[in-house]
Amino acid sequence: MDPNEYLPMFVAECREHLQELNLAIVALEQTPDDPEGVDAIFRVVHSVKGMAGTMGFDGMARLTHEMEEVFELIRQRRGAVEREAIDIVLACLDELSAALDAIERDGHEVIDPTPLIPRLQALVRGRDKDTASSDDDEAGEPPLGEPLNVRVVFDEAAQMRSVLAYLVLSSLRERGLLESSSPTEDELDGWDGTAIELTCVRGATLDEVNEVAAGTEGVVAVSADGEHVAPPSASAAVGAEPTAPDEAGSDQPEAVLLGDAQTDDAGHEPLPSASIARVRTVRVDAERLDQLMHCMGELVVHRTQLASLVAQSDVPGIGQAMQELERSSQTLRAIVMKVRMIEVAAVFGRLPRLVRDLAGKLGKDVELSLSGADTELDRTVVDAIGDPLVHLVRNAIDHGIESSADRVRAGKPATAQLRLSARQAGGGVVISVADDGCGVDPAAVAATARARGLAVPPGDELTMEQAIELLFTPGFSTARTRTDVSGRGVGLDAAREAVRALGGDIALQSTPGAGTAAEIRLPLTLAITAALVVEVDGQPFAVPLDRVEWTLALAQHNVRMAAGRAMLVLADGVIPLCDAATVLTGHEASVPPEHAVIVRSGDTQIALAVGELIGQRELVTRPLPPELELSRPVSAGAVLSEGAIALLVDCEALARIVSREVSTSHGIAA
Amino acid sequence: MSPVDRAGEGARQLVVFAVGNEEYALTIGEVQEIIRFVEPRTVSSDADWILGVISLRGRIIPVCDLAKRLGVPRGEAQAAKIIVVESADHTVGIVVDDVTEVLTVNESEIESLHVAGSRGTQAIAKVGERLIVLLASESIFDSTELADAV
Amino acid sequence: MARVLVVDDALFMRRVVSDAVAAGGHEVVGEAANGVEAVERFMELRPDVTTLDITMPEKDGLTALREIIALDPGARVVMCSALGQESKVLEAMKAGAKYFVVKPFEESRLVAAVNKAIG
Repeated sequence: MDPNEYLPMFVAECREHLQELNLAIVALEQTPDDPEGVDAIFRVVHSVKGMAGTMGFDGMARLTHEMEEVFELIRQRRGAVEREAIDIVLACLDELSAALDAIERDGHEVIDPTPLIPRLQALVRGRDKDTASSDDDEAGEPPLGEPLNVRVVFDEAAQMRSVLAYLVLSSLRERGLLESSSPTEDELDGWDGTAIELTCVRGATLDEVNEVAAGTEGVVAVSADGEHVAPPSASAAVGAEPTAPDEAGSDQPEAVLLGDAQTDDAGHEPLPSASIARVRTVRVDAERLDQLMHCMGELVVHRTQLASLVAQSDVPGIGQAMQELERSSQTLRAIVMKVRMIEVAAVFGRLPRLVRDLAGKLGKDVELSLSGADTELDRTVVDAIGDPLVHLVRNAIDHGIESSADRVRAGKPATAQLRLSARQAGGGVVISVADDGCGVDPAAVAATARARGLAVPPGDELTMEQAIELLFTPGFSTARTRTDVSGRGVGLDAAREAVRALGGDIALQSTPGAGTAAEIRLPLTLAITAALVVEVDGQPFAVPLDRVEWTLALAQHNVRMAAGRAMLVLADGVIPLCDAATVLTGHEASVPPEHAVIVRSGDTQIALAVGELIGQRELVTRPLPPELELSRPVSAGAVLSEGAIALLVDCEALARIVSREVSTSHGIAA
Repeated sequence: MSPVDRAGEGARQLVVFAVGNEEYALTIGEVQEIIRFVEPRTVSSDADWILGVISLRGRIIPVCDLAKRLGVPRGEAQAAKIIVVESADHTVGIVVDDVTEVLTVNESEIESLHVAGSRGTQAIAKVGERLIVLLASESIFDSTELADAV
Repeated sequence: MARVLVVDDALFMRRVVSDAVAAGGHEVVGEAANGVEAVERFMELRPDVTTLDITMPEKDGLTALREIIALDPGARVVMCSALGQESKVLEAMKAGAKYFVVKPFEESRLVAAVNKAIG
C-alpha cells in the first residue's frame, strides 16, 4: 500500500482545513472573545496535526502541535486575543499552505517551522506566566496516535494465497481503510506466506477490517493488537496466535483519534455549530463521482437496448414498465449531475483573509460582505473561477478603493464597501464583485494604455465602454499593476480568458467616483457528454452514448447494395450503412472500416462504419469555433486525456444526410 | 480598436514573421502568444485555409494557414510557429514559417493601404530596405471579407 | 441472474463452465474460443460477467482482459486458471479482474466466483 495514494485526499482535506482556519482566525480577530470560535479552531488544528503525522510530514505536525499549544492556552484563558498572536498564527497558516503546495507538487514536505516555533512558544510563555506551566510535560512530541495494526491469517491449504491476499488488500484499499501492509501489493508476486500484517488508517476499526477480510475465502483469522476476532470462515483450523496487547493500554487508537474527546470533557457542552460551519456532507472522492457518471452512461446504453427489445415484445405491461424505467433513469442522471455541484462558498472562503491582508498592506479600510455563498456550481467550474475571482478582488482593493483620507475628502464614508455576491440567473450563475471606490477614469486609462504602447481608439475622449475594453487588453494590467499587490503578471485579460474557457464571460461596469462592478457569468455546469470514442481515418470521433444502440464487427455481417446504397443485413432487418470517413471527413479512410456503431436518431437507425472502437469516455465538450465553417455532421469538440481532440458526431445531422442521399452511395460497397 | 488610422502616436511595436519570402507583422498587442507548430487536428472545413483545430489550455481554437489565406507560397517551414491572436471575440491561431523579431517602428514609416483585394492587410511598414506588411488580425478569419475578395 | 460470456479454447471446458453457470441460475449469452473472439463478443454482448481462460491461442486471457477493461472499466471478469498460474492470476487481479477459479473446480466454486464478481 502506497501512502501516495492518499496524498491527493490529504492535500485536499488539509487545504479545506487551512481555509476554515483562515476564516475562523480572521473572525476571531473581529470578535476576540469568542470561546466557541477558539474551540473550533483548536479542533481543526488538531485534525491537521493528526493528518500530517499520519502521512509522516513531521514539519507540519510539529508546527501544528505548537499552534495547538497556543490555542489550548487561549482557550483556558478566555481573554481577548492580541493582534500579534493573530499575525503569527496566520503566518503559520501560510507556511503550512506553502508546505502543502510542495507536497502536492513533488510529494515531499518542504517546511522549516524552526523560525515560527519560538514565536509561537513565546506567545505561550508570555501568556503562561500566571498559569500552571503546561510546557514541560509536553516537552516531547505527544504521540500522534497509533494506527490500528491487523493480522490476517490464511488457511495453509488455500490455493493461490497471494491472490487472496491481494483481494483483501485491494478491497481494504478501495474502502480507504488501508494505510500500508507487509507484504505490499507489489511484493505479493511469488509470496507464499500464510499471514499478512496490515496497518490501517487511523479511525479504521477492527470490525470494518474484519467485515472485508471475512468476505474473502481462505481467511481463517483476523486479529488486531490485543483484540481478536473469531475466525470468520467456518473451516478455521489454523489458530492465530493472539498478539500480546500493547504495553500501553492508553494507546487505543480510538482514544487518540477523537481529538474532540479531550476538548469536550474540558467542562463545556459539545459545541453545536460554532463559527466554523459544519456542513452535513459526505466526502466523496472526485474519481468516484466520475465513475458514477460512467455507470450512468452504461445504464443509458442498456436502457436503449432494452427499449428496442421491448418494442418487439408483446408481453402485457412491458411498455408501461419500460416507461417507468426511462423515467427513473432520467431522474437518476439528473441527480448524478446534481451531486457534482458544490457551493461557491468553496472559493468565497479564500477572500476574507485576502481582503484583510491586502487592505492592511495598502493602508485602506475595507469592509467585505459576502452573499449567496450557497449558490451551487459544477465542481470543475468552482475550481476554475478561484483565480479570476481573486484577481477581481485584488483589482478592486488595489485600484478601485481609495485610501480613507481620500474617501473622506470626497465626502464618502471612510470605510469602503466591497460586496461579493453569487446568484442564479437564467441557465447560469452570476458572481459579482462590486466596490464603492473611485471607479474607472477613461482619461487615465487612455494615458496608461498609450504609455504601454497599446492601441488606443481615436477621438479626444474615450467612452467608458472603450476604457473598460482597454483594461481587458493583454499587456495593460500586467505592466501597470505589478505592485506587490495585484502583480504576478496576470491581468484582467487572463482572468477573462480563464472565465471564457469555461464558457462564461466577465463584464465590467463603472461610474466615475461611485465605484466599479465586475460580473462573472458562468454556466451552471460544464457540458459533459458520455460518449463512445471511435477512430475514423486515423482521427478520434465521439458518438454520444445515448445515441449508441450497439456495436458489431463488420467482418461477421453481410453488407448488400440496395437502391444504390450499402445496407447492413442483420437477422431481424436491414440498416443503412454509412461510411464515417466519407461523411465526416469527405474522403474514404485509407484502411477499410472494421466496426459498425449502430446509432439512433428519432426512428432512424444508422450503422456508422468506423475503424477502431477506442472506448467510452466522459467528455467535456466545447463548442467548435465558428471560424471553422464546418458543414460536416459534427457538433462540438472535446480534448481527450491523451491531448488529442475528438469531434462529437451530430447524429441528428447524420440522419438527415443519410435520408437525403437516397440514391448516392456513401456506404461501403459490399 | 483599430490602430490603422491613428496618427502621431510615435512608435509601434510589431511582431515580425516570415511567410514564404515575404515579411508580415502584427501589432504586439494583438499577439497573445507564440507557440511551436503542432499539427492541428483536421476538421474538413469548407475553407481550405483552415488547417484544423488545436487545444490551447483546454480551449479549442481554429488554426489557419496564413500563406494559403494570403495566396502566397509557403516557405521551408522547419521553424514554423503558431501565433495565437485575440481577434474581437475569438482566439485564433495563425501558422507562419517563422517569427523573426519584435521591431519598433515609427508611425512615419507606416503607410496605409487601401487596395482592393488586399485580404487582411492594412498597411506597409518601410524599415530601411525592408517592406513589412501589417496585417489586421480581425479580418484574417473574416469569411465575408474573403468571399468579397476572392 | 447475470448474463455470462464464457471464454475458453477447449470446447469441453466451455461446456463444463456453461453448464455450471446455468445450474447456478445464470444465463450464458455467448461463448468465445480465443482472446480475439472474446473481446469482440464482449463488445457485442456486453455481458454482466465474463469468464476468461488464461492460456488461449491468438490472444491470451491476460491481453484480452486488458482490452476488455480498457473498453469498459466496469467489466466484471472471472479468471479461470490452472494451478501453476498464480502470478498470472495475481497480474490479472491487478489489471482489474474481479475474481478467479482454479481448474479443476467444482461447480459450486465457479458459481460462487461469478456471484462474487457481481458483487
